[in-house]
Amino acid sequence: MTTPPHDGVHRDGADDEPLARPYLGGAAAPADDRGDDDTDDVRPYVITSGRTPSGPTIPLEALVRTTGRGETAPAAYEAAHILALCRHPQSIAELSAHLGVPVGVTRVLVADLTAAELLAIGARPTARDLVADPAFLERLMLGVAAL
Amino acid sequence: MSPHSETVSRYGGGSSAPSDPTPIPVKILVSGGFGVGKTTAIGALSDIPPLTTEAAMTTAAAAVDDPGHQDRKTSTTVALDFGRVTIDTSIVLYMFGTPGQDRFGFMWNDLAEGALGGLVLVDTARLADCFVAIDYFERIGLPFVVAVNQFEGRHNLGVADVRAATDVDPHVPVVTVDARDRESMKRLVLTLLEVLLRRARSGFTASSPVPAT
Repeated sequence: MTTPPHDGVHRDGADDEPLARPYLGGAAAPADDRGDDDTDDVRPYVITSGRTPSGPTIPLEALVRTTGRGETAPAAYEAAHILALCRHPQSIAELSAHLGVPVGVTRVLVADLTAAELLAIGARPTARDLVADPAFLERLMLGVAAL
Repeated sequence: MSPHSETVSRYGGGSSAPSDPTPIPVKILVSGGFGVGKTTAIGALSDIPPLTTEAAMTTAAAAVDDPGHQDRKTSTTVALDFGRVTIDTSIVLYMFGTPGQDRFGFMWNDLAEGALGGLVLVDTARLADCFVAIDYFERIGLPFVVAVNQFEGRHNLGVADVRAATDVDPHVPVVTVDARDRESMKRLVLTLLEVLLRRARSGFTASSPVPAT
C-alpha cells in the first residue's frame, strides 16, 4: 500500500504555494501512481473494459458483501479479489483502497457482480431517517463511548 | 426490547445471512484546513490505519481560477482519506476527510450526501483555513462541531476567540480537541452526536443535506 498522502508531508515547503496542488490531477491525469500492487501498470478503466459508472451511484460508504453464490463462483482478477474481501462486508471506499483503483472503477465492478448476484449491497437507511431517530443516535453514542 | 433497534432491524438484516447481517454504514465528515490534522483525527478512532482512495468529483469549473473554462463541468480526481470505526455488530461509522484544498471545497457534495454531520478542525495559527468548511456545512445545513486542535507547544487561541472569529450559530459547539488522542476524539464525535440527538428530540425534520449547486 502506498503511504497515504499525509497533510504534514504536503505542507512542507508548500505554505507559499497554492494549497490546491498536491492532491490534484487534472481530469485527464493518469491515476496510476497511487495503487499498491499489480494494477499499477494498468490504466484504471482497462479493468472495466473502458466502462464508466452508470445507473444509480453506489455511495462510498455502502457496504457490500459476498453472497453464498459468490463464495463459490469462479472468478478471476479483481472480481475474485472483491469476492474474497467482501466475505466481510466492505464499503465501496475500502474496496477501492484495497484494490488500488479509483472509486469509479470499483463501482462498475461491484455493479456487475451485484447484477450477477455474487455480491449484495447492504440496505442503507437514509441519513434523513437516521438523524430523525433519537434511539438510533443514542445507540451510536453508546457505541462511540464504549470504543 | 429498546426501540432503537427498530432502525437496525429494519435495515441491518442481510437477507442471505441473518446471523451475520450487513451492518448499517453511517458517515461523518472530518474537515478543516490543509495540515490541520484530519487524517490524524481519523486515525485516532479508526479500527484500521486510515486508507486512501481516489474519487472523481464533478464540479463546475467556474469556481476554479481558470478563465478559459468558465462554464464547463469538470471532473477532478481527489484523494480521500478515511477510516472505519466498528460501533457494534450492526453499525459501522466511516469518517471521511474532506480533500484539503480550500478552493475546492465545493467538490464535497458527493461526500456530504448521506453524511450525518461534520467535524471542523481548526488550527488557530491558520484560523481562516477552516472558513471554507464552515461556510460549506452551513450552506448545506449539515450539523457540525468546530474543534480547535491543540498543537503541542503552540499558543492557541481560546474557544471563545474562535467562536467570535468564526461567528458560528450559538447552537454550534466550539470545543478543543487533541486529534492524536483517542479519548479526545471520542468526546468530539459524541459532541456532534449530542447535537444531532437534540435536533432529533426536538422533532427536527429538515431534509437531509442537499448539495448546493
